[in-house]
Amino acid sequence: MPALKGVGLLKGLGVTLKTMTRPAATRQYPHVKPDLPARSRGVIALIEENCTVCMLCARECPDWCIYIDSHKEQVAPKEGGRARTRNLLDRFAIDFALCMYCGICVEVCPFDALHWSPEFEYAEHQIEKLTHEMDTLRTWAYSVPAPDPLEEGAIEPKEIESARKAREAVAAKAAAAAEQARAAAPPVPAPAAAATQPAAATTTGAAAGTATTTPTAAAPTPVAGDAAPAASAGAAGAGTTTAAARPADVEVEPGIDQATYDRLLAAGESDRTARAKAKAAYMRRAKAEARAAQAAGATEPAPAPAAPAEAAAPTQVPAGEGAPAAEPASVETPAAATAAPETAPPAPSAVGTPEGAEPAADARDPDARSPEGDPTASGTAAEVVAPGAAAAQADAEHLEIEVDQETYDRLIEAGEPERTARAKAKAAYARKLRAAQRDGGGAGS
Amino acid sequence: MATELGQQGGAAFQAADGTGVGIIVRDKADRELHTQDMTLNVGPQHPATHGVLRVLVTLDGEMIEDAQPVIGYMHRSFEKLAEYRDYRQIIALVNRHDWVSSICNELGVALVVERQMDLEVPERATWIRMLMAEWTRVLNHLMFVGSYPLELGAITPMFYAFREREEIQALMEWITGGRLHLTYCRVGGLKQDLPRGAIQMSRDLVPRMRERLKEYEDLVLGNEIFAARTKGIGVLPADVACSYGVSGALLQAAGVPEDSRKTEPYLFYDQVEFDVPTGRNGDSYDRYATLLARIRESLRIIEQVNERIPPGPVNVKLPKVVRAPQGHAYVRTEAPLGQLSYYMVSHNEKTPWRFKMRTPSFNNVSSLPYLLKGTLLPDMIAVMGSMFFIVGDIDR
Amino acid sequence: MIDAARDLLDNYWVLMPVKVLAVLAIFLTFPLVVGYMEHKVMAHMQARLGPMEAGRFHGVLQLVADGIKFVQKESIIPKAADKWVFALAPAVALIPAILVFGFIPYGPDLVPIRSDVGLFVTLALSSVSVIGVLMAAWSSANKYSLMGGIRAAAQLIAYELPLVLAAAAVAMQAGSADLAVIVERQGWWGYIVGPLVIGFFVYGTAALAELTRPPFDMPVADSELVFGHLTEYTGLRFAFFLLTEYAGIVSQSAIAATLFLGGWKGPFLDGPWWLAAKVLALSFVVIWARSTYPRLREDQLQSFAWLRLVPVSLALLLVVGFLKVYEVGI
Repeated sequence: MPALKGVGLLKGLGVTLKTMTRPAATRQYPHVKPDLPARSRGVIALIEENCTVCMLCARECPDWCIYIDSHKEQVAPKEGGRARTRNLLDRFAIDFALCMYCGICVEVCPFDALHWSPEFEYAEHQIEKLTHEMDTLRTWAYSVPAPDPLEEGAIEPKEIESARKAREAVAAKAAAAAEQARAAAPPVPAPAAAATQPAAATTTGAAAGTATTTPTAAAPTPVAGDAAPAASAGAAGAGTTTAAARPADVEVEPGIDQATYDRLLAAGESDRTARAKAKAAYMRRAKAEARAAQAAGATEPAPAPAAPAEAAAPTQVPAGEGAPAAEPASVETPAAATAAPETAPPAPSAVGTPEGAEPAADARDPDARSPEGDPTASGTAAEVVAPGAAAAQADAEHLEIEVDQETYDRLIEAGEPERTARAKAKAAYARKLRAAQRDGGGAGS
Repeated sequence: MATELGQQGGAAFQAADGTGVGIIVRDKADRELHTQDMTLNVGPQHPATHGVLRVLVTLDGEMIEDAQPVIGYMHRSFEKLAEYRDYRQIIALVNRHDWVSSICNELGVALVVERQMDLEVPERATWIRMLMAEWTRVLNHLMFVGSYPLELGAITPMFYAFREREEIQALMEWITGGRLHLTYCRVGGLKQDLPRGAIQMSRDLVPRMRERLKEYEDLVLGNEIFAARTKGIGVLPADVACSYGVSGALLQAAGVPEDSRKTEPYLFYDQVEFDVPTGRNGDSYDRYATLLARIRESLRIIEQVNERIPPGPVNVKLPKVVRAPQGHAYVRTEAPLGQLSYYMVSHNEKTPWRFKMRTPSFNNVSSLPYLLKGTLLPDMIAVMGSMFFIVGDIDR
Repeated sequence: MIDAARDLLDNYWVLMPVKVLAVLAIFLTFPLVVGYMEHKVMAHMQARLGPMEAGRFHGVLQLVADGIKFVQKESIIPKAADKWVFALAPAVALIPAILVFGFIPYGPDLVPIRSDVGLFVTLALSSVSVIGVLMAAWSSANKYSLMGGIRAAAQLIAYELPLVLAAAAVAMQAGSADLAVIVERQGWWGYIVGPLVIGFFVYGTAALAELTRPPFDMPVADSELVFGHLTEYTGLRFAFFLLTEYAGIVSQSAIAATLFLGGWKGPFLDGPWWLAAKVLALSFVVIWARSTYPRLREDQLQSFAWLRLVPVSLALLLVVGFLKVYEVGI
């Protein structure tokens, strides 16, 4: 029996007595709700309008707890274009009894349809009730908080960066256009219909900007931080306006961009890939040219308002066939451009009008789903924000990544394995490409 | 019937610290009275096994004649599962074998895949990884700093430990969004950068934790009853520890200053100053004291890391599907419980072909039969609690 | 009017039920108060709040709620258990704990059962509870319970001795084993001024061990023996054991207060409230020890009892006897 000297015993008593006199560290949970941070993994919320049924989340889920049903639908061709098929979401359910809350689905979702909401009070008495369908998942989207700003020294996320540049570009353009409009006499060549439409379109964007106080509006901006309101406004502007410009789609003869093809083959790509990419490149260029020509003509009742197209321009990146949203080439029509920023602030009520609803619904069109038969397609400002941000991100994600030959050679010489060299070279290429686009966009085409 | 103070049976009737007294009952022919041994299943459902470890003990009175740990109740076939998971999913998976040191586990996976891909991780990411790993270590150690006295009957330290853990947990939740399974590391960096103010919060936490550690020293370490229960109990000599592959606080308490952070530095552990605390006797008391000292060292590292996080990216841009090139890689890291190693064989697919894990708890617990033989039943609790194991980490 | 009431109370058949009811009332309130105090004090020592919901105000009715819950629980008797013994054990533990309350002097004339060997009757009664524990342990047919029971028995034997010796020192000093007389012969400061303060500590330690309260709770050590003799008990029977434990804290505190702290005497306004205050203060210390200390090992406890407490209490007896014989006043 070691001697019980007693000093340690008394000290222990002192510690507990001291603690007793201090306030408790616990909080009375049902009365006091926990203050959860924005990144809290409480429950997965779905913004179903953003979902393109790409199935990435369901495939990447480590325990396969996401159930997705969809059907294909033919979309009527517009203006003589060819018909497209599109996946429509029938069911999106998450079994939270299986879910391990790893967040991989949210991370891989390319269109920001999935978000973490800090809500956690959804316990059930029966395990099967933990499988939540889209309607429930949608309601959680309203409590998705704005993300935290990043620590000092962090790299600005590309979504925020592009939104910020877009915002700056739009502001610069508007200022320039206003200047120009004041200098020149107002020509007003656009027909009445065209005039109302850009107004409506821009109001949706503006309304989205002002609506960031509502949870939904804040929700879809993935990494906005303190720039959140601005970013969503910018992104929303881009989204809606590109969509409004979409009817200006043109048909061009398919062809192949020989230069790209050769380059890709040389870079060691397979023939098939090279051909596809070359074709895509050709089509892009051809369409852009055709559209530019069309806009220059400007006699047909094209509902393609220039202002939206301009707003879209800064964030525009060649998105390939997959994302026609970003396709419209920038065209200069100063009058409409001036109209947009000026009419924007006072006109949120216009959102509800048929003219407003039309482009808004269209805005969700390219990547999301058809406006017909969709109960949520009311074209409210808040909903339009989402596809905007999604499109912006989609653009960023869907770069055509090729190999930066210079880097590749350098790395191979440095003794890197072939694979690593290629990966790094690709990364380098992507970086360059994006930088180039950003600069181009920032300069304001 | 003759009685005599215990000489025969030696340790059998002496407590391990040599202070106990016992009585041997002899029959008329002066033979020791034969008693029947009792077999007792401690676990798989037992409060002291914190989890589902089962120890089959053979008891003579309260004296343990034999103890066999029976493991596998929580076998979840991690290694096989990993063969069917891509690397990001593996990171989410390994969070779960030692569920109180998730970042340290996922760090090991990230490191082994990066080593195989020959990937350079941005500096900022590496420093943040260190920050998170050390906070996780503190979290893990606090858990045992609290639960060990609980097993010895002192309830309060557990609550204090959880109070402290909660404060650190708030930081972790703010940064990663998770509380237990943080899933923050990625191959090539991190999931995302820190939220603004996180480094400041981490700075503020360090002195507060240091202050709180004193409470444990007063309440537990300095307590004579605690010392009486743990000193000289479960002595694990350095050579035996090494032969069992014991690592972490247990090995250090035996006087071996082995710590992968020092002996085979990964991340930037070679750029920060810290010591490897060692014990002298290798008993339960030393193990507990080592644990507290390790928290102090971790706080020291955190203090340095807080000031050294450079600006820059936290991620390498990787293709959508990460494939590790053909070959194999091995990484050993110092997880809070000891040496944690991952060995990966890749066939240039998006999943590893083989994913072997060497978890600290498994080896540490394998020394239990050695430690328990000849101790008393209450000492078994004192020994098992000081093994600092997580059953999921034993069974995988 | 008062005289009439006195006359009425002189009648044995009137007085007896009144006494029984009073003792029962004390038995049913004080242990609950101490139980509630344990919830709250321990919670605050552990940086939390404890019960906050039942009874609206800081969970004052928590133990009542617990009692109602216990009544609703299924009473399970293990198949291999010795059913009668198993069923009887809680009663054997509980009834002596109630009886002890009858011998405590609550005030100058408030002694429900006055006996000239009251001190030893109370001590004897409080150790009967251990028989209940042993019965429970044996009849449960559970290895953990059995070991808990054996530990409890060993502990009782080891600690009864210093407990009685320390009490004997008091009896010697007071010159009587009648609890009422012992109180009367103390000043309001009790016997803790003087050599008997050692007796107080010996008694306190031994009483803690007899109550199987931490740091001497090896018989019910939850992390080793999964609550020893309580392992197989559920529902109301389990509640009885809990009640026994709290009643034991109260009665041991009351005996200690009577022996060493001057019982119902106080610096002013003598009366039962002083005893109540002292009982609560001692109970607080019991709870305080529980929330601070780990438990000892059984053999350490034994050696502590036989090698430390018994010699000390014997020496104390010697000193007190010496002082008494040579009339050096305390």
